[in-house]
Amino acid sequence: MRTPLAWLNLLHERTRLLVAIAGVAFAVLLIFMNLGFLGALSLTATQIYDQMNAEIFLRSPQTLEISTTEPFPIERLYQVAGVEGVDQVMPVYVGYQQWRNPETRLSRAMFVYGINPRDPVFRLPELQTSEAIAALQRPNTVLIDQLSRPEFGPQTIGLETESDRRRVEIGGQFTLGGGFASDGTLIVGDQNFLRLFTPRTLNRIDIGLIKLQPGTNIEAVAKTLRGMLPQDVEVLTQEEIIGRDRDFWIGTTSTGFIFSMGVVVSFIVGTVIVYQILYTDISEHMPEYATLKAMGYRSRYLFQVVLQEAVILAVMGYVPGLILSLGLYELTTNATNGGLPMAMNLGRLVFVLLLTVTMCAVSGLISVRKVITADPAEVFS
Amino acid sequence: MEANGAKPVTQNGSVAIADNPDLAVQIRHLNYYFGQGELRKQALFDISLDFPRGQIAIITGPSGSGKTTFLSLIGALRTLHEGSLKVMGRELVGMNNSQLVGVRRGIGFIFQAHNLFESLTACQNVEMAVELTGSGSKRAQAIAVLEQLGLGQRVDYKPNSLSGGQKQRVAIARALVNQPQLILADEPTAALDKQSGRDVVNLMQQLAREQKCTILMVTHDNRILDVADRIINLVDGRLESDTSMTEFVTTHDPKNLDPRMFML
Amino acid sequence: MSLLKRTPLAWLNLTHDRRRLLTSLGGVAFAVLLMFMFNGFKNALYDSQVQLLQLLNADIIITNTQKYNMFVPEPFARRRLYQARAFEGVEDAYPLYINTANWKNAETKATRPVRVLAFNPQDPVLRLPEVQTQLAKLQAPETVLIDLKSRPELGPITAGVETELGDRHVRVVGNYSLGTDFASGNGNLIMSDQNYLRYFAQVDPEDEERDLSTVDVGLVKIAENADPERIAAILSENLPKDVKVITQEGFVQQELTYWQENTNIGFVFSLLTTMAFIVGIILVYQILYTDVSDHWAEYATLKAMGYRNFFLLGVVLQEATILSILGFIPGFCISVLLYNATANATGLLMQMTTDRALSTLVATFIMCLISGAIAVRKVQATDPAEVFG
Repeated sequence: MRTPLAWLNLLHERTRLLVAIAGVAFAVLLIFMNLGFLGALSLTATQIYDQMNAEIFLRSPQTLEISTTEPFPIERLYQVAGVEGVDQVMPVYVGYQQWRNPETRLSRAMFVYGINPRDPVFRLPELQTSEAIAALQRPNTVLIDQLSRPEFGPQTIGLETESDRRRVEIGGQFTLGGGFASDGTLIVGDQNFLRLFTPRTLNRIDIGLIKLQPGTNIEAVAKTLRGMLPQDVEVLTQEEIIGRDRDFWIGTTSTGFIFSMGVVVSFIVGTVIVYQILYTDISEHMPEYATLKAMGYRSRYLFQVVLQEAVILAVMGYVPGLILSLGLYELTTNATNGGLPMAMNLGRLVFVLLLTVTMCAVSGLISVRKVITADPAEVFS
Repeated sequence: MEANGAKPVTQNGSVAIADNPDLAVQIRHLNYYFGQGELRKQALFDISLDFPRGQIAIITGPSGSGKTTFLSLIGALRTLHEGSLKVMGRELVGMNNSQLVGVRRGIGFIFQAHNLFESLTACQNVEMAVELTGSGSKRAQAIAVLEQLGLGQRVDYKPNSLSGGQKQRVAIARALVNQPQLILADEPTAALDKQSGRDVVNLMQQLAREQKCTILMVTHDNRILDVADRIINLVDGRLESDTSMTEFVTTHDPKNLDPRMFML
Repeated sequence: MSLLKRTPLAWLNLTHDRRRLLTSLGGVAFAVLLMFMFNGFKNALYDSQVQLLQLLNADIIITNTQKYNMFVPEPFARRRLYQARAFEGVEDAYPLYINTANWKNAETKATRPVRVLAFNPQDPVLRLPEVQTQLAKLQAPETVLIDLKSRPELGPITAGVETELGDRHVRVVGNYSLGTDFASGNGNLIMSDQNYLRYFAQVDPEDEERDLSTVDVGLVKIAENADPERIAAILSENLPKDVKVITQEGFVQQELTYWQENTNIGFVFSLLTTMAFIVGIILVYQILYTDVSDHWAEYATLKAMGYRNFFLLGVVLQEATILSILGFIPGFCISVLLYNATANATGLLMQMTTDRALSTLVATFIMCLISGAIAVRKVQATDPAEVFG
């Protein structure tokens, strides 16, 4: 076995190795955090669709995301109902209401979903209970999201307050989370929605949910629907609608640009750190490298040694960087009360590892020039 | 000169000795240990020596004999606890680090490696020493010493553009610029070729005479033994021999028999 | 010996190896850049939300009591403005109408919501000279001025473009430069109050009908030398409780506070800035540590010669300070360029103010000092006795 020169060189100066690893680890951490924030924002913006009990969604082509919908005729949903593979179709109405905090008497915009009480629109078990269904059917009764911001006031069942100057009573609670579009969420029965949102009618809906029979090919049904429905509605699979909303929010808030820029700058900083380490190492071992060349080692070998050092640094920095990131992900999720659900995924793990190795390799390639040009005659000077 | 004026060790381990203004260094019953507790290892054993002003003494001995430790103790680089060690009349035993720093400022150090800042010119390296104590124009003083050492043309060169001998001469200039009364040199010629080494020691000899300063030099270099007034040999931390130059030549010349053989 | 006459050891050590100095400065500059970018993003997200509010030509703002941020579409009765005019110290009070309408991209025909700002062209509502000079053009029916910094999704927006706004014909007669915020969606249009009636007085039964009797934001100008706080307090006390009266400054602050409290912008970017700061510490530490390691024998010699630890501490801290300043300058310059690039690419309001530049300079300085303080321990631990042998 060959002497592991790269490894031994790095290991020789413990303090410097530790600093180098810390540097790489922090660059890795920065990259993970930027990607994590971006991921969390995308997730926040779109997690509502994971809670909706449908495989295919209908909405107006003018709708940009869930809170800026353009209503379309409910007939489109009826047209779909007869298509093979479709199990159930459910209309959803959305809108904003000024909800008065009964304690402070200050109003705030509440996001309201109107649904048919018997439709299993959301995958939340607390909404499927007979109590919840009964509450949705009672006039002037609403269900309130426990994750609504505290500014909306108490959420006690039975509490009465005003929504756009109409008296309403809290009939139950659920746990959903608002996303980007809302600070607080209500679910009401369609009849109550009509009362709250006069002069709207139930004939024009905001989102159409299409639940398919188990085992149905989603893409095939979506294609059929696209063929048969007029241009005033768009047919989107769950993946597509999530993509649309995510792109909208990421674009509108410039967060995509911001965090991508964060990744790029972190990458460059990491490259500078690793370059400094490798350059210092090479400077100090110049006589030894020159000796190796005098002994007959080719530049290629020295090249490999430096690249090996780079890769070792990458991996040794990646691991603590990853562990720190997982800790900070957890911390962020807790510190924001779930407002930023930071979650790691395999794709990101692999992507950042590749980025780290690239970062170190680039530094290695820049710093190696000094070794390649080492003059073996220098050892005798 | 014999060094046997020892007095009894007092209870607290220090030794009281009378000041002698003609002596640059006075050592009595000096013991030194490395490490603590179980790992404590004695490096120097009961050394008693006097070095008069203006003397050049060479300290020899095999590696590990304690000669470098000995030099570093005289150089006030380590705190001392046992015996007595007076440098220019100041007792080092019992001094704290801050007091030791004060003593060091009156000593010139020359090392095997020149230890010059690559970023500073020859002159600036020497000025670093002037700044410690000096007053007046530090550059003029530095240049004066460098000229004395034959580096008048090289004052604004950085170490990289100087030869090994020149660098060592800059280091010597740095040690001399404050006109110390004691110079400690550790293998000053080891990194130099024969001629440069010879030049360097000749310079040191000349300075010792002119400025009446004491030079203690650790060396293995047999080529320069002739500059010494006295040669001290340490073996395993003990004083093995202390001979004048003439004696040393006689005893180490294989053509002569060891006089001690006749004593038996 | 005075400090000035000393050999500038720190400076000479740093500048001796040019290549290493460049790399070191590169490192510090990038740490500075990171801090500037993350801070810049945070400030941009906040600043963007209030840029329109800051341009309102008013001393005092009147809104509906319920309007706690610009998203809330609650108007108030225009007669409150007439009532306000009657108070002493009030020079004038005029209405600003705000609404949202769908803009049709003239090329792709796709619609996007835009925010419409409408007012009487006689009223100096916006402190935007570009708008002031073009107000006469808005007298013609179905005309608008449109923000050049609107999102590209709106399509062509130069003067002369004709398209549809809320399913009604519209003609662009001029441009100005403002920028978008979270509430404005894709851009801001400016039109006269008379045109506002054309677009919003008769709308779909599902949308709220608007005329000029209700106002979104009321702008109050007060007499010179009058105290806005005092007059705002008087108005607040005497006008009916359905309106809120605050100074313009307070109005801007209210909007900022809303975004600070209701978004994680502050948390996210403060965390990232902190991490950039730590990265900077590591970078500078690495530079100083290498310098100390490389000059270990020389530093030990200085100690042997009689230099105290304090002196060496000074050298390392000086190096840290020099690095922080020399690294800050290129970091700052690159940041300014990147701020401009970001502003052009996203329309984000990236502002480099003296305050922000100075606070980052201070952060850089502290970053370098911390690194210096860690690195100096190695010099202090240097045993001068070790230079022998």
